[in-house]
Amino acid sequence: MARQLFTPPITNPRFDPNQSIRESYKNTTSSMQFQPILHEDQSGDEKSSCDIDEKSACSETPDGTKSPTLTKQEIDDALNGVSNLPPELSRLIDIFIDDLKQPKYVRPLSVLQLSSLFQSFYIKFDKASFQHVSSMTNNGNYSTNGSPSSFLAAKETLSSGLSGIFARSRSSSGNSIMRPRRSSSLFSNESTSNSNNVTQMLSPEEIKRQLRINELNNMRIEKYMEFCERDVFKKILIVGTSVSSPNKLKNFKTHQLQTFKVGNLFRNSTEFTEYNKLLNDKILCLSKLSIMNKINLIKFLSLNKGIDPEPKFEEIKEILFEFTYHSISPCEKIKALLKLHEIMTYSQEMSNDDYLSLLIYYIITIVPRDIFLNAEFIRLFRYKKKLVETESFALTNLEAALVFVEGLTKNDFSNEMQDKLTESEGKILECSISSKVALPSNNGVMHKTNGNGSGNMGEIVTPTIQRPDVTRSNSYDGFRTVFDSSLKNIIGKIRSYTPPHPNAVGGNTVHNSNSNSNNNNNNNNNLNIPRSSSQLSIELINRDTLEISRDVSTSSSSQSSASLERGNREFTGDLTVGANASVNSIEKKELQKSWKKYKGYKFEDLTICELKDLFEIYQKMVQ
Amino acid sequence: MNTSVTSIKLVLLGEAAVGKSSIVLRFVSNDFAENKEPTIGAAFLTQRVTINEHTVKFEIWDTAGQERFASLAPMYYRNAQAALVVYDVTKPQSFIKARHWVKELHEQASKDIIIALVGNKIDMLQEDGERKVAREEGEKLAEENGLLFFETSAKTGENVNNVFLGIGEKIPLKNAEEQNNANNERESNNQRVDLNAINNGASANSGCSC
Repeated sequence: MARQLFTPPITNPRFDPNQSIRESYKNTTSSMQFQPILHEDQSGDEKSSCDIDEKSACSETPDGTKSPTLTKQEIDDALNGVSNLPPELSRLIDIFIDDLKQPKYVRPLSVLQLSSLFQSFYIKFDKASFQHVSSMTNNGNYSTNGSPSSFLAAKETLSSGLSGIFARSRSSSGNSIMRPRRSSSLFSNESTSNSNNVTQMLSPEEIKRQLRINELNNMRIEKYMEFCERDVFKKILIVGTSVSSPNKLKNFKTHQLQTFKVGNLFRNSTEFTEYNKLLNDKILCLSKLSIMNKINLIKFLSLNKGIDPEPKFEEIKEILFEFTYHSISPCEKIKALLKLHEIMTYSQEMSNDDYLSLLIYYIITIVPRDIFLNAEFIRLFRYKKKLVETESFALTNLEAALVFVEGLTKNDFSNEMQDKLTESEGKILECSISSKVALPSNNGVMHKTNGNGSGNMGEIVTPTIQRPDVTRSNSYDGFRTVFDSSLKNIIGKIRSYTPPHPNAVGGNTVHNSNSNSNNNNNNNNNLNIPRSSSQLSIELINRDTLEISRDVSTSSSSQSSASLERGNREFTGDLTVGANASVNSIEKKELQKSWKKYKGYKFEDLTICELKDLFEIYQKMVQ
Repeated sequence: MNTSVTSIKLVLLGEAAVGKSSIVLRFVSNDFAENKEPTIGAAFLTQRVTINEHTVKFEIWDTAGQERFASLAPMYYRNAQAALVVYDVTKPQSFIKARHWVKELHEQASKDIIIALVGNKIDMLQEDGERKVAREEGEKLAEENGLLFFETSAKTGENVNNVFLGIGEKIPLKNAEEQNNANNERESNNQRVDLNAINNGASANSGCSC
């Protein structure tokens, strides 16, 4: 086909059927052409790239024709009503969290494995959202402009044409759940009247209307995905990632419920927490050196080329704190990060030398705690399909800034400055963090890897993440060997967010025994002390004691459970178990001795007394 | 009729002040200053180009050119389908650096990455500037390494668009059928060429190549 179409694709909100027809019948003039992309100006601070689709929807075609796209007003009307997830989608989140807390893993999940579970869930949720929105649309609930609900079914008889494209236009996957493709003339109200193969053409207005509906649906799904991320992590925040006493929740203060500690998710991945701690220390150290004028950051980062970072300092500080402390979901955090880049934009001509230098400057001067874990949190827990374009770039910039900081050593500074360093500062700035801690790489990327393959951390999980989404039904068998039985030290021991039952732990242990794990805890179900609650509740009380629990939880699972087992016994002072055991074993030994007493005897030689003795032994054996 | 849009991640490499950002700004804002797709200054920009029946959407990632940031570049060119290695025709040092980037990209970037070698600032040759890197040198390097080669002026816009069109033409676009299938796996009309499909097994399985 030689003809060119210079209109945007039909799935594009700027598609203009009139222009398309016009241009299709024009002679080809060139085979290449730049395609102008015109957008209406964005209003306010709605500049985050989470809303890319929304933005592109606010556009008009170059020739000024009203495009079949949505006005700001229409978008607002449609989306303002959506402030929460519909119950059926919300239920999916409940099920997911419930599923996570099932004690089906013997070994605590690493953050990479956890991330993989989340990503699988997002994909499923995306599909479910699509189905939900489609079904709502087909029921006429969302039809715009008062169009009758039969419109879709009636007009979508072009099953291999437009409707096929429409159906594809929002298709994140669809390998397990069948999507209700709106292409089936079989179910159309008018299918019977079309039996003579007369295909009803869509009028331009109808196409526009259809595209509108389609676009609105996409926006709704976008919105639902955002809510999904938000709600999942809010729920995790409420139920916690640990097992403290069930009543603890009541004592939480409001501010505690609003602060999500990203570090909790990384608890079982010591490399990350260790790296984070060292990076925190290094940033703090550099900050102090800067405050004491031992280093001149502006000069060091070559920032004095017309960019003065000071005027925006407070604004940046606020958004960095929003990023690290006050936001919960990955989506909120990435929005904060984009906002940060927006604030840093002094001019539209700024190159990445400027952004990166500024970012490093602000990180060192503001010292946002746990910024590394927050960055990794986004990388691992933001829906991967959405972590593209500006989002991906902004996150890469942050990671690059952090890698730069972790790699700073005293040798990067002047000799004069090196002489001024105290012993502890010198130690912190002695070498790069990546030479001390090797991070498990996800697809072998984002960080400078430790040249020494084995690394200091010993066996680090292989980068390949198993995706357990395929058969993640209620049957545990498929995964038992992979993730084993207990999420106990992390999500698996999330307290129930339904009012916790005092015997919840007992319930968990029943699950454990069902899953036939090697968990020694099963032997002592009657010991009513949750194995990890003592350990993890500490963390809820004081964040700074993270290391304590981490140290415990990171020793190998069997070891830790065994040692905790011992600990529990000692703690309860329950010696009867041991005492009973020893009495029993003595008796057993005596019994064995006695029945062997008559080993070489013949029946004829036994006296009545001996026969009586034998009978007594028999009685004991029976008992 | 193929109406799909293929996204291409393109990374800019080159010494500081060779005009990387200027080239991209010229390309993006040449005739269409109205472009309001989300951007981050001149550090992250997008531009769509229609090539034959395909629309290619360039996602252009700038990298910091300062030497101190050189070790961070792999984080940026990871999963890039195309790279622009820029040097200044009046600065021989920048050409040496360009050689290093080409070598590094061959060693560490995606196997099938398309690299364009770009000698910038040719406008300076008409303004009493002295050429320090011969065109032949650039061509030779490009030929030896299988690169596209262009000499440009971001200032006048000379040859700038051709750089991107050249890259767009070399990008292995999937045929229509594949795209239809791929569309089932991805959202909307926004596809990505994934040169790392094999390495990226996890994402591929999930039907998401981003």
